[in-house]
Parts: sequence; structure tokens; C-alpha cells
Amino acid sequence: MAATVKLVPVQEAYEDLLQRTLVRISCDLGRLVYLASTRDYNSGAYHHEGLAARFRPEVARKALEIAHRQVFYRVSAYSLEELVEELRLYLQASRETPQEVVRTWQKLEPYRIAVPMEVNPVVARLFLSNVRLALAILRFRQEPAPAHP
Amino acid sequence: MIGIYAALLISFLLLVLLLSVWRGKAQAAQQLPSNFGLTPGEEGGEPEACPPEIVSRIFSGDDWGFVEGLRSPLVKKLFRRERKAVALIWVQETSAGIRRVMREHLESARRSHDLEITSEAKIFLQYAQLQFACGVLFACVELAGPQRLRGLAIYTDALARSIADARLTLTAAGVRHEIHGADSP
Repeated sequence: MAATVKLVPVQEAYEDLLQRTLVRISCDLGRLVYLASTRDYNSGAYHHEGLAARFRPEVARKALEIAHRQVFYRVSAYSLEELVEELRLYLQASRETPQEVVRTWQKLEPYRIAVPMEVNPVVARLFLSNVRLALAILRFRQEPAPAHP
Repeated sequence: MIGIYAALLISFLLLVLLLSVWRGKAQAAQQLPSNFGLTPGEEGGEPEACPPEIVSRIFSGDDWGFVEGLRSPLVKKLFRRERKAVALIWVQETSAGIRRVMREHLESARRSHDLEITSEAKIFLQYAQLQFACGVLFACVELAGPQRLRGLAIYTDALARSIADARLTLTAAGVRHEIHGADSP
């Protein structure tokens, strides 16, 4: 009974997060980066001001954690072609030039922090590997084709 | 023409060789940081299982088809290297996970007073079958990459799940039996 009482507000907070915030982000990769950014680097705890004010902070934390894991698994299961398209959409929405972002992502690998805690290590490895590949593909597409004599 | 005994002997020797290479590689790989340096169960809890759609994705030929169409030798090379590494990690994790399940099962079997021989034999046979499949998968991925191995990988994954399920069923039955035993005068 107690578990049911606890789960209902989490479900409501999760729905609220989807309807108010995540729906406004154009692609799943963007949603993933956004959700990862709500997590504290040191403690690993999630925080969202608006959600915590509407629900309780621990309910908001749980809803963010669930949403993060769901989006992560969805993105990890994407085909490479779909992921390249996601990355293209994400770069399009960015304020920086796509070439700049691709170069920075390849160098610093900031997408590593998008992995939720305690996910299956194989899924995490596949995600990192696929993003690395998608970046290489976009870089290849950005390069001008060699001029034929 | 070689005789049937010679063929069987050669097959057996090849199998032993394959399994010893696989065991050696798996042991060496356990000492390397395969992913985040996180090994399953490090947090103390039961490690989360890899979803079947992810297994299917790792061993799918679709991504390779897409990469091949790009006509970039660099991307192709990177893809082969990356996907092979992920596939090998999956094989190692599956094999290690099921070894862990069997270890726990043997522990509880030692304490059990009424072992069902047929169920135990079935689990052991499935375990041997799974370890053999992991060995074959490992060798094939090493030699040719994970593409075109989706069928075998899905079969191996289903087998690993069925062993884990069978173990859970037996544990639950053991707990029920203990409760009934304690209740009876």
C-alpha cells in the first residue's frame, strides 16, 4: 500500500516533466543531455527547481532519474543511421557551428556524462561507441569532397 | 579419407583449443578496464541485464550496411574496431554473469536436502551449452566481427535468461519447501 502511495506522485511528476519540459526539446539526444545536466556531478543526485516546487524534491529526483534512464536506453537502441540524424538535429539546435561542436565532442567526449548511474555496462559501452562513430560520420560528411582533376 | 575416429579426435582437439583460447582471453580481459572500470555487481546489487534489443543491435548487420554505404575507409575501420570491442564485452559479461549464477546455485544446492536430479542435470547441461556458445561467439567475433552472428547471439542471450529463470524457480521452490517444513509439526 505504502509503495503505491509513493509511486503515484512519481508518475505524476514524470508526466509533468514530459509534458512541460522534455516535449520542448527537439530530439532524444537533446533530452538526454538535458536530463544528465540536472544531475549533480559530485553527488549524482538529480535536481529540478520547478519540479521540486510542484512535487516534493525526492519525488522530482526519482522522476528525473527514471526519465534519464528511459531516454538513455532509447538512444542506445537507435541504429547508427538514426543516431547520426539525432546528432545532426542536436547540432542544428546548438548555438555553435556544427564543425566546432563535432571537434569539441571528439576531443573532450562530454557525452560520457550522459550515461546514468548503474546502467548495464554493455549498454553504456555501446552508447559511447555509437556516439563516437556518429561523430566520425558527421565529421566525414562535413569534410569537402576531394576535387577531381 | 580419414576415419570417423580421427575426425572425432580432431574435432575434440579443436574444441579444447577453442575453449582454452576463450578462457585465456576472458581471464586476460577481466584484468582490463572493459567499460567504465565498473564491473557488474560492484555496487553490491544484482547487475542489470542487457536488454534483448541491445543484443540484437550489437550483432546486427544493419549498421554495417549503413557504414559501408558511406565509402569512408576510416569510418569502416573505426566501426569494425568499436563494434568488435562491444560484442566481446557482451560475450564476456554474459559468460561471467552466468558463472556467477551457477556459483550461487551450487552454494544453495549444497545446502539443499532434496535435490531434484533431473532439474540439476538440465541446468548443468544448459550451462555447458551456454559456455560453449560463448566460446564459439568469442572466436567468431575475434575472427570475423559481430555482423552475421545475430542469430547465435540471440540464442545465447535466451539461454542465459532461461538458466537465470530456472535458478530463480528452484530457489523459490526451496524457500517454499523450507517454509512448509517449518510449519509442519
